[in-house]
Amino acid sequence: MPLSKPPLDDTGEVTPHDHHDISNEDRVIRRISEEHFVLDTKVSGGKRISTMAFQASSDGNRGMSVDLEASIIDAGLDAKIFVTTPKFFGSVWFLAGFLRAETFMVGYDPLPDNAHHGEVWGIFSKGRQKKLLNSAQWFVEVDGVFLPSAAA
Amino acid sequence: MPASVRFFDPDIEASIGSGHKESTIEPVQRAPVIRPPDLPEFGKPPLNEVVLGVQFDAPAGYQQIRAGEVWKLYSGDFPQVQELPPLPPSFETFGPQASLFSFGPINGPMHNRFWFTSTTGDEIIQFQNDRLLHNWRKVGDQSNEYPRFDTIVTKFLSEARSLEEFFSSITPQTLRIRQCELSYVNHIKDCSIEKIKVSDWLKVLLFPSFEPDDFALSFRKTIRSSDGGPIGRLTCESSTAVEPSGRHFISLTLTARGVPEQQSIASALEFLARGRDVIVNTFAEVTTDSAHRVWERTA
Amino acid sequence: MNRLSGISLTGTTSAPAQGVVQALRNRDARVLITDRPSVWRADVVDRLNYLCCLPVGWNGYGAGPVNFNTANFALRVLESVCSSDTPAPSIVPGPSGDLQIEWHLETGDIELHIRAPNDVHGWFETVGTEQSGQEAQLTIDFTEVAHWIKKLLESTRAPIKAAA
Repeated sequence: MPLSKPPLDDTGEVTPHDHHDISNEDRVIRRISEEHFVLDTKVSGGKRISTMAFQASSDGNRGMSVDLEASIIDAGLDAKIFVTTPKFFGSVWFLAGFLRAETFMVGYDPLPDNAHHGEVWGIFSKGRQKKLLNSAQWFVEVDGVFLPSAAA
Repeated sequence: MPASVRFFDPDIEASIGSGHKESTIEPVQRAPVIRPPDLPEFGKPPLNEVVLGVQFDAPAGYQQIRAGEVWKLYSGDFPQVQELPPLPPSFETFGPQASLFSFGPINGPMHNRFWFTSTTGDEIIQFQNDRLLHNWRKVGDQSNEYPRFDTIVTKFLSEARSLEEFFSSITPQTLRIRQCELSYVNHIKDCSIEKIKVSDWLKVLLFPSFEPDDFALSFRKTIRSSDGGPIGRLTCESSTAVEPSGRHFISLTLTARGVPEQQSIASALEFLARGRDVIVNTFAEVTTDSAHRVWERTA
Repeated sequence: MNRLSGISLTGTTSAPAQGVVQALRNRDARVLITDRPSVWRADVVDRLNYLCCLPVGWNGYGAGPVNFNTANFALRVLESVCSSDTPAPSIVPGPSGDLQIEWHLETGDIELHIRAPNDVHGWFETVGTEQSGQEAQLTIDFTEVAHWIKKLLESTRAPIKAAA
């Protein structure tokens, strides 16, 4: 079932919210650009994801962009193909419930070029970014890039 | 720490009240620029040029094609315009390796620089999308007198406010000022002799047994806040130079550059006033007593 | 030309001044033979140039390139804290023109999130100590960051000295 319209401000921009149609069991996908791979001699393979991959924007509605898997599937699309088009990106996923337990809000913010776009709002401190990094699981895995959950 | 400088322009406040409901610009209170009573003063300083200005975040929504609209803000008093290559960003930072030299600026898209020049040519506004500067210089027969810091800084306040209002008309915003700078360029000349003698003018260079053919020196000094932390630097550069006529003189440039306490125009002007004090005190310290007599030191 | 910032009109070659002043010494012609080439500089400048030219949408969500002034400020930060033999850091772009400088060594990690010029969040953590991450809000003074780098490198080099 399509997500209901998100709340908007006077200018028509989506305002930070926690969307009631996104259940705690829904998966939230975060694309990971190769620009966010960093060298780390402490990890297997010597390469991992930077905490900057989990940074909110400081403009717009100041959230961290994500893709909503349930919305993609509901539209009859393959989520792994969707998040790797038009360019290949690795990606990771979180449960919406996990993010909410960390006091983030998970919302719906459809865009002209991405109808399944969502946002995660909250405080992205260094400690929280590290927790996201340590908790993230591969959705589209990138060979040779270390992810703590994959090593566990 | 010198007394804070505050500025108020009732005309600007009135225009803000009538035309800019959505503006986040706040009016600035003005008192005359407060000059510390013990600041050295010279009746005839060897000033050739004074530059003051700010570096700020590129404003939202502004594109270079609108530079003509910026010129219109000032074209009444600055009717001539030239387009020049941009100034690269410059920042003062502190750490154990911080050096005078910075090599290899980063390449990237940059807005051209525009000079808006006064009819007499002695004052210039320099504008690019992340800088606004006001220059005064000696021109022609060099008889135009330096109008003094408080005059120049009051003009600059008005120019900065106009620019901020213009950017705010594109989308509500204020100038986010990251750095301020003030430079005094002195040309020390001795018209009575063919070749100037360095030690007659600069206390920091004494050559007891010979006179150098030429020299170049530079030094830096940290400018500190009241709690002792660095907020900027004074940089001094001096060297011998030659006029088109072939006469030698000494160039002595003092620049104060640093970070304002807040990102606002008012805070920037406070830093510039502090920079002026540091520059003038250092100028008096590095030049000789006999030079001060020539320049008619009165305080 | 005033090499400090180029703001002075005196001697500028970009427009005729009221008389062209020439310095007698051509400072640009000096060759400093005592400066050692930096291990990190070429890689960092190349990386920053690259990040300033990233296409919009490089992260899959519409992010733009790193802000030009932020990149220049980052270079100044590194010039203030890195000696000639400091290893080159990783530099990653942020979603809003920002960037992060990172060192991840056996002995610990340093991350400098440069949000904008004069607006830096620093984070430092050593491995194998009870001390959790140390954070600092920084503007123009990066002396503390230099200490962090020194701690990481000293710990890295110590086992080699012991083996010798």
